[in-house]
Amino acid sequence: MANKVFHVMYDDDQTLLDAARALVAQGVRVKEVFSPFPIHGLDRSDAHSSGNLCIYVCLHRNRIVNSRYMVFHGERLGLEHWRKAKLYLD
Amino acid sequence: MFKESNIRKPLILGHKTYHDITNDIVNPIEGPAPKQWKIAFTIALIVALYGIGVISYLVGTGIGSWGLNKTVGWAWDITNFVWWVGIGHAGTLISAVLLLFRQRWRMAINRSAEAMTIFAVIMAALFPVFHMGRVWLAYWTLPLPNQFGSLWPNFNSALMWDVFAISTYFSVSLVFWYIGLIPDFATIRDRVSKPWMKKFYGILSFGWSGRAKHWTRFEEISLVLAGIATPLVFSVHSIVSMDFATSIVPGWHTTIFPPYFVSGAIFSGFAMVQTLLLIMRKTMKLEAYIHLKHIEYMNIVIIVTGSIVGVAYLTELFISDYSGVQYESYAFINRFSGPLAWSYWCMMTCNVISPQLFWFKKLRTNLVFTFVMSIIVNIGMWFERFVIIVTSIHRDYLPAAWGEFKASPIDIGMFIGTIGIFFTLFLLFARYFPVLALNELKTILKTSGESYKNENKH
Repeated sequence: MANKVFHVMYDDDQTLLDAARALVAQGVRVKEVFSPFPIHGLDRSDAHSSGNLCIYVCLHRNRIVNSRYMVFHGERLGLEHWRKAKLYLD
Repeated sequence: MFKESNIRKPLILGHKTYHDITNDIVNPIEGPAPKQWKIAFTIALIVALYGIGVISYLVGTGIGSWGLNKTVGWAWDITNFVWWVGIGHAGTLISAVLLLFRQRWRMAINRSAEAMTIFAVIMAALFPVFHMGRVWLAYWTLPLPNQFGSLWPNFNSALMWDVFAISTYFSVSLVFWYIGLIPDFATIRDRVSKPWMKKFYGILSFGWSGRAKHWTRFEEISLVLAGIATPLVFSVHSIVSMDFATSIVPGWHTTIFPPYFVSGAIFSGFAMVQTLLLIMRKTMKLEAYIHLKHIEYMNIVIIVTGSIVGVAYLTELFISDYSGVQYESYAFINRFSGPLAWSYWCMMTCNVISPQLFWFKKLRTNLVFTFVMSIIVNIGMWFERFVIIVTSIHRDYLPAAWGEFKASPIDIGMFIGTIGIFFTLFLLFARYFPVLALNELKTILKTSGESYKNENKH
C-alpha cells in the first residue's frame, strides 16, 4: 500500500471533505490538499500527516490535466482548475 | 459546515458558482481598461499632478505660503490630516473588528476598505510631514541616536505619539491588506497568459500554492493581525485627539475627545467607503456581491457613530457653559455665533441632523440617497475638524491677540491635490488588484449564497 501514490481531484469542497474522511478511515494517508480557498474541517490528521495521497480541489473549465503534469506542477497548480472527481493512478 | 439561518438575507446574490466569482473579479483585471476608468484616471492624475506641483511650491517657498498667521498657527494642514486619518479608520474596523466578530458581510468590502485606509493614511501623513518645512529632516521625529539628527524627540508631546501611532497603524494595515491579497494574486497568476502579468503576479503572490497548511496559517495570521489591529482602531484617533486635548486651549482641553474622535473617524470612514463602493459596484458590475444589505449595514454603522458624534457635540456645548470657565464657554459661544459660525452650523447640519434620516428604512436602502449622504457626511466631518481647530485658536485668552484665518491658494491646492493622489492610487488599485477578497468570498458561497440558501430551504 505504501508504494502507491494517488492524485485525486474534486470539483467541490464538501465532496472532498467526505472523501478525505472516508479515505482516512480506511487507513489511506493524505499527504497534501490543495484548494483555492480554505476548507474547514480538514484537520491536521487529514491534511498534514505525511502520507501518500494528494488531493487537489481544482476549478476548471474543460482542460484535461494529466497526473504527471500535476505532480510536476503541484506547486503552481490547483488554485483555479477544478475538474470532475477523477482518480489518477501513478 | 457552518449553517446560516434562512431569515438572514443572502450575501451573494444570483446563481454564482465558485468559478463565476473568480471570473467576476479577475476578468476586469485581465481585460483592457474600460473607457470610464481611463477618463476617471486621467482626471485624478491631473489633480494629483497639480497637488504635487503645489507641494513642490510649498517646499520651495516655505510654510509662509499657507494662510497661517501668528494667532492661527494650525488650520487646514491639521484639519486635513485629521480628516484623512479618520477616513482610514473604517478600513481597519471592517477588516479587524468585524473579522473578530465573525461578520461575514465584511468579506465583500474589506479589500477596498483596507486599500482606502492605506491610501488615506499616506495622504494624512503628507500634511504633518510638509508642515515640518524642511522635509528632508523628517527623520528627526524618530528617536535616532544624536549623530543622525541634532534633536532628541520630546516624548511628552502628543505629536510625538502621533508619529508612532500613525506609523504602526500604517504598517499593520499594510501587512494585513497584503496578506489577504496573496492567495488572490496567486489566482490571477494561475489564470493570466501574458508573460509580464504572470511574472508580476507571480512575484506578488510569494509562491502561494494553496495547500491546506498554508490556508490554516493564513487564517491564523489573519486573526492575529486582527487582534493587533483592533486596539489600533481605537488608539490612533485617541492619540490624534490628544494633539488637542493635552493642550490648554479652550475648546480643546476636553476629556471626551478620544471617544468623540474615534466615533467621528469611523463615521467619516464608512461614509468614504460608501462613496467609493457605490461607484465601484456599478462600474465593475459587482452588484451581486456588494448589494443593498451591505449598504444598509454600513448605513447602520453611520447612524450609530453619527449619533455618538451628535451626543459629543451637545455634551461639550453643555459642559463649556456648566464648567463656569469664561474662556471655555466663550470658545463655544464664538463657535456658534462668531465669524466662523457658518462652519459650525454646516458641521451641525451635516453630522448631527442628516445621519438621523437613516432611521427610515426607505432612505437607508436607497442608493442615490446613500451616495449623497456619504458625501455630506464627509463634508460635515471636514468642517468638524475645521471648527475644532480654527475657531478655538483664532480667539483664545487674550483679545489683543485675536485674529482671523483665510485659506491661501496653497492650502486649498494641497488639499485638492491629496484628493487627486488618493483617487489616482485607488483607481490603480481597482484596475490591477482584486477588488474583492475573492477566495474568502468562496467560503461563504454555500452558506450565504442566494441559490444555495434557497435550495436548503426546500
